[in-house]
Amino acid sequence: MKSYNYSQLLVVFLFSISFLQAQEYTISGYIRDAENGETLIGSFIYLAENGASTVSNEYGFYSITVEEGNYTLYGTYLGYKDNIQAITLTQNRTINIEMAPDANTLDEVVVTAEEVDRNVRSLEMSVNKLDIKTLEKLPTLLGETEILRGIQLLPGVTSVGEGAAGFNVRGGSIDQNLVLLDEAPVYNSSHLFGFFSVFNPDAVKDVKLYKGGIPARFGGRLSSILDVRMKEGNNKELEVNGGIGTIFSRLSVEAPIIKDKSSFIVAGRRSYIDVLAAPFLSDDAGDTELNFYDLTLKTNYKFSDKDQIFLSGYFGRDNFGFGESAGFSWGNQTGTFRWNHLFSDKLFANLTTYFSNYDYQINFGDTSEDTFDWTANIKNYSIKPEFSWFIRPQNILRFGGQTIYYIFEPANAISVSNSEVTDISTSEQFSLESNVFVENEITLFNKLQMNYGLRLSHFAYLGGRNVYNFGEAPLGEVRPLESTTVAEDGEVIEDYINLEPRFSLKVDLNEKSSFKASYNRTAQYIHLLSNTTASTPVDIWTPATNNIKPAMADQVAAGYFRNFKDNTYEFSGELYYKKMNNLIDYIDGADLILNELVEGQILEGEGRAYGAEFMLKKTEGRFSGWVSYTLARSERLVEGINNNDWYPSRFDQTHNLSITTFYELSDRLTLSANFVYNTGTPTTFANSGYYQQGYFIPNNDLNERNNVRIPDYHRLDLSLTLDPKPGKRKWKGQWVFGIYNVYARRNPFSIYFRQDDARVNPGQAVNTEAIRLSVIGSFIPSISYNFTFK
Amino acid sequence: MNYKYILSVILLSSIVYVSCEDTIEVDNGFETPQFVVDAWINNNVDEEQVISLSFSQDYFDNRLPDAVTNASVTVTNGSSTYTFEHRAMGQYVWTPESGESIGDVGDSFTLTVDFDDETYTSTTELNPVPEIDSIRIYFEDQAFGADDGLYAELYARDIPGKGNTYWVKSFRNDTLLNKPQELNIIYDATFDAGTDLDGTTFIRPLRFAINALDEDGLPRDLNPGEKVASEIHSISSEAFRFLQIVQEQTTNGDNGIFTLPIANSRGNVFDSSGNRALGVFNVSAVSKMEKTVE
Repeated sequence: MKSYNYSQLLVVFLFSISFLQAQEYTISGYIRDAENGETLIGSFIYLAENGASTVSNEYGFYSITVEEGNYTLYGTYLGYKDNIQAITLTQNRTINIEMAPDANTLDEVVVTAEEVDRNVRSLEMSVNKLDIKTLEKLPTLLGETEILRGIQLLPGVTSVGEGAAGFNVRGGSIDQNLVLLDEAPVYNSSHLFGFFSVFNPDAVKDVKLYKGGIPARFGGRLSSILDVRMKEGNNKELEVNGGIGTIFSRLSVEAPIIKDKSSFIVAGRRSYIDVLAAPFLSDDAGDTELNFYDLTLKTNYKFSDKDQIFLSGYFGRDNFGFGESAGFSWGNQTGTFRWNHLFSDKLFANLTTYFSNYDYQINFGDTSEDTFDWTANIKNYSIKPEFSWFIRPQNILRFGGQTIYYIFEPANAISVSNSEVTDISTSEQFSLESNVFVENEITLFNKLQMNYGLRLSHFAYLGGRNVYNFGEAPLGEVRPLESTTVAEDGEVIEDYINLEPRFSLKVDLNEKSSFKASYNRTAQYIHLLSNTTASTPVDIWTPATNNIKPAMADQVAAGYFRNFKDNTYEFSGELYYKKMNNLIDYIDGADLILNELVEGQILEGEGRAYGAEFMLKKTEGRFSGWVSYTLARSERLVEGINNNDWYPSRFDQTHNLSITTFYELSDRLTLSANFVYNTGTPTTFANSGYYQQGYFIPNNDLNERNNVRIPDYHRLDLSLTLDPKPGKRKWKGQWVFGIYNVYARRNPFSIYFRQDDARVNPGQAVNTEAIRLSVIGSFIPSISYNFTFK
Repeated sequence: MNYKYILSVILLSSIVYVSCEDTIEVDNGFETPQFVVDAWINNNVDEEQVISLSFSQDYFDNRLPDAVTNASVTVTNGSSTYTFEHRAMGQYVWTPESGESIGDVGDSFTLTVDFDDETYTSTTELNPVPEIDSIRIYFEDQAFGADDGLYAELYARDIPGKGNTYWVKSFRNDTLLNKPQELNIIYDATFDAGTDLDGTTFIRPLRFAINALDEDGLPRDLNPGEKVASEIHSISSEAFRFLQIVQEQTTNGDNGIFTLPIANSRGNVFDSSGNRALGVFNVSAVSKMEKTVE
């Protein structure tokens, strides 16, 4: 790492400055939806005369600097009418563009929401953007629009199975994804384990997944960034959206507070799964409470064309109660404050501060003599200034930094029994993560576009707790505690510094095709301790410590992008190779929760993942959709596991195919289907068993890990969407009928070995059997009704 | 039953209603039976000590193991050597003279098994065991998911000093509670290393874990006249780790989508080349108590 030096940073600056020239003026402003005032992210703005172009940023801002003259300015966004303005440029101009939705295409299924040839023209590779309108038409489990399940239809994104929380990107574990909601990290992105995501589709504006070619402005996780941006709220008129589904009811209200200056959105959802589940639970669990809800809020105020603030928040909770005697709940809370400021027409700045918390609570007993209370959480506070300098249309320089303060409370657990209090808490952990980055995007000779940058990250594991030093142990056994020291508040126990270079490149081969390549190094300083097939809500996060190193990854990717038939078809093919270091694993029988000395049970390993991803999209016409196919391998090497040999990770899937199609039967009726197929995930079987004091103990004779595969997974889902009659009306209703798992395949989630529940008498054999667990055992029909009122 | 077990019940009861389980045939690739030593003995006075030798088998054979009947088995504590004679079905027995036991707390023991031109050995130490203070029978109306009724609790205090490990074996009406979910092992009054607990009364879930479980895995209440008995066996830290993985692996099927990876329990018996054989040699000190519900 030391081989990089700051002179490279200097080169970056010099490179950009050399392009500065005189006698130019800037056109800048915001681009918005004319009907509701929402800013449009990623719209394509260009000047017809010289072809200079730019793309609006995450706040809808654009800036384009050209020589003085007369121009025709085009604002374009798919699903909207082009906005065309004639401009005489003799001074800097602020031009806010309002885009009118195109009535003809509004109700049409739109697979891509950006300029038509973005697939080929954009520098971005390994990046997928999902449009809410597309997601709404996807057939889903119980008819709920689902962001996290939607992204699993993209190449390179997998999951260990239905009901499993999180997702895996290019062979990375679920904690290698940074899930951001208005820039605040969401530590558990699922409701009801992994069936539903915490994002309310009514409040989401934009979803973007970076699997590779991650720009220097993002970091903190090895494998991906899922950037979810919330709507600002309609600043023209009152709008109410809602839905009644099989599992949730949703309602959102958005309205201007001061027209064109300030607006808000409040969106809530609540499940009624408790009502549905009641008949299936035994009498003993009659008082069962089972629900989840979330509330999303956002408001903004525009002081002037130069200053605008945003305040957004999320609060969600899953509750499981068992009468008065036991309860279990978990949830995320986030709050983000942002301030956009224009220092000049060319220099856009954003300051973000956020708070994020994930916590869970478990309690038993309702008398004060006998209780057990256990809470755990991860909190963080962050401040993040970022600057974008739109030097020329061919050159954007971004720079900024971030500091995150973390507090980990892995377990605050008190057991009271007959008034005897036992505290089995584990101590808190504190850490500070800081980074600075600089990133330069540049176009050369009209054909070559590059984004190169550097990110310098630093992580400090802070005192205010005991510091443990462990001795050596035979491979795979608990390392013994050798000494304990106490570190004072604020003292740096251990710190790590990493330089993370990022680079992407695009070469236009011709009008219709391009070649792209990228390299990125990423560092990850916090880890999710999870040893189970599907991550549980009680899994805790740990910072890098004096015993746990930060994980590192290097990824290279190359791809070919081509559009056919007037951009009706988009094709992309990418190859990637990712090498990961300091991944954590666990000794056999590791105790990951309620364990102060968990660091002594962690193993360190490396990983590699490689694959080929293909995607073909048809974006226009009555019949549209996409096919995505991934051929991939994800492997781990950990000393002490699998006889110190490489083995496939739990989420390794050789083939992964998904076909998603939409067919417009009429103006109002759309039939959607998706089919998914993937190779069964690997698992480990016990070969033999032996008796010990009457217990029958499973044994894997060759000490292998993930040596067999469960059967392949495939599933077909259908849905039929009936859109409202076109035209201006206050109330618009939409019906969605769906069937999930149409041919009722019992797809295995896992195969496990089970012993007889009955008591075995001495001298009797223990009976064993293999069980195939299917999380969804049948087809699941659904009906939902969505409405808009404005 | 521990906190984590309770937790898995909570986690699972919520997904059960859409999921389904089917019994299937799988090829688990079993090849060769391996030699197994089952040598858990104690230093009780006048009590016959039994060591069993057998072979491992295909996990799905659903039968008793093949016995090893032609081995020679001795245990030595440095001063005396005890010979275990084969009686039947692979059981090797040492019968004490009147008033005799196999050794005292603090003794170091070596097991030697000669079989099929191979010598297997293991060493262990006899650790101390705390007295049982009481078995309390009381009315519980908050038992998680179980019926209101009478339940038992075991009161004992961990021996001061870090790293004492115990196996509590319990009986109801003289029947040993031998389900995997009933396996009750204790590390310094709690579940595992990694807490500050030491020298205190066993924590509540472990005290309560002497109750029998029904077929749903819930604690079964007691009726007047029923008998509850518990024994605390001191075990070595190797034996504790062994049983910890046994507990985890034999109940792994209860975990639904949250299964743990397959892990092998590591014994402390080695062949002459230093390879680990299957099974454990442990010598316990035992304390016991019995109570009849009134």
